[in-house]
Amino acid sequence: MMALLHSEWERLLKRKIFWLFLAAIPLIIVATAKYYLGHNAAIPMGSPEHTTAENFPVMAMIEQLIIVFNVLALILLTLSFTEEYRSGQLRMIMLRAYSSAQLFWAKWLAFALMMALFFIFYLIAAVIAGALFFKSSPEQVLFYYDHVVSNRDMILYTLSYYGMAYASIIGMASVFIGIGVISRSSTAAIGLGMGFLLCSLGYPLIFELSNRSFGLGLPSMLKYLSLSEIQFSGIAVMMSDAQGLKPLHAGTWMSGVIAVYTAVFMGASCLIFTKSDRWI
Amino acid sequence: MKVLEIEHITKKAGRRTLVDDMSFDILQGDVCGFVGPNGAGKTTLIRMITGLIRPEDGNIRIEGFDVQRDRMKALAQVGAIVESPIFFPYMSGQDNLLNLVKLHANIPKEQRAPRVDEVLRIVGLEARGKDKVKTYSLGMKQRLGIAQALLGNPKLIILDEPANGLDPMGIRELRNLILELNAKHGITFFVSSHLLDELQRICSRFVIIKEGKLVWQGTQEQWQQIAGSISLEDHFVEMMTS
Repeated sequence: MMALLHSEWERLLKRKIFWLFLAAIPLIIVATAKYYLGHNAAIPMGSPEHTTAENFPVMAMIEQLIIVFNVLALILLTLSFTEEYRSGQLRMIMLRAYSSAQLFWAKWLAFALMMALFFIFYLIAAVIAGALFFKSSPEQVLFYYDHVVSNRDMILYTLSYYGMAYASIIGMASVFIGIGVISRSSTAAIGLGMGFLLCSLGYPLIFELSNRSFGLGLPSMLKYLSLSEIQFSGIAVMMSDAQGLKPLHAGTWMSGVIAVYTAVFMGASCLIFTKSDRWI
Repeated sequence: MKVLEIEHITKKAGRRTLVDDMSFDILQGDVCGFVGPNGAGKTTLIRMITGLIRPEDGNIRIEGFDVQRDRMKALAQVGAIVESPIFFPYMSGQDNLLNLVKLHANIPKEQRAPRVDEVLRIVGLEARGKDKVKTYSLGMKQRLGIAQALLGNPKLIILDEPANGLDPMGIRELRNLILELNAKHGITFFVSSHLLDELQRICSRFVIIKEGKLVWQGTQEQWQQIAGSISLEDHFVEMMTS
């Protein structure tokens, strides 16, 4: 199994997209920093939206998680699952003495490790850019917090935020893997993946509009059935310290949503990948 | 000794029967030609032998290991090209093989690179090993396909239409390579092809199929006896049209 993982990892490393994205991270971070520098001019110091050297890594993740990381996950998974399978390249691996289930999990693990690497590199780049572009502050104001936090707590908050963001990417990736496994071509996989992302972005708007317009009285937490909504505002709500949000059990609810997405889509994808005949 | 045992294999796709109750054996040291017209079920059977698809009925054993129940042990004995050899185009030929050789547990880590160099030398690609696969000609890809099939020191090599797209020189090189590997290393070959003339030059045995069914199997001498005065090609056409 380790040999299979090593083989998958090596092939991901040989792809241009890996090096392109790694090279693009500092550029993305600098562009994000420039955006927040402009934004700071219009935002008062005491607002959680005001960017400091300490909160920049979190602000940079909020800004890029939905588009950059989701799209990167979609591309990597399409290349790994759909393109390799449909083009027949994967046949060279499937003819070896490994089971399809081992191959499936090796592919998933290689992807998960690669995303972890990107997250770590992004965090390091964001910490450096934060120190270079923004003023330091002794205390930080956070979203959905009743009080300010120390810089030591900010470090823990940042690490937790990146951890939850990573978990949300794994949840999103499980859907993309499902799409990748059933798609007949890479174009179809990218198209369906983007379609899912758009639906995920559109659902909270439609939910809130319907709930308000028709007076449905549905619990507001239902908008967090959308993975992209969890990524957009849910992680901050989940990590909230505000007394008013405690009864919502946001952490349990959203962790559960991510876990269900992951379990359902990974289970179904693994079943399809391993049980169907491989006419390649 | 039987290297490959095909036992009452049936494969269906919807209502269509692609392979129908097929049985035959391949013995150690054989170079066996697998002959049949387009759509006869040759590639379907090869896909089942290599575990890519599952039969509805029957058993396939390689060196005594059942492909369905003991897949890992069975496939460890096989090297194969199914249809055309497709590699990872963004990697060199050598890197493709280095990536694949990791998957052979019988080759220790320190012997992987020498093994890759060795198989590249066997197929005559040592000078182009560092070039990207996308720059290879079809003949070079076929040779690289054989190189990847050789990686794990298999007892059986399955080649599906290996001469497809090769020029006469390439076909001759391939023929010599198969004969050399069979003679020097005792590797058993199971080769599907339309080119009966070519198979006649290398195969000691033949398995002939038509519309998913076994039509005839035996040695080349036995076939020549049955064919009598007419050529094997004419006799094959007779079998297919009768």
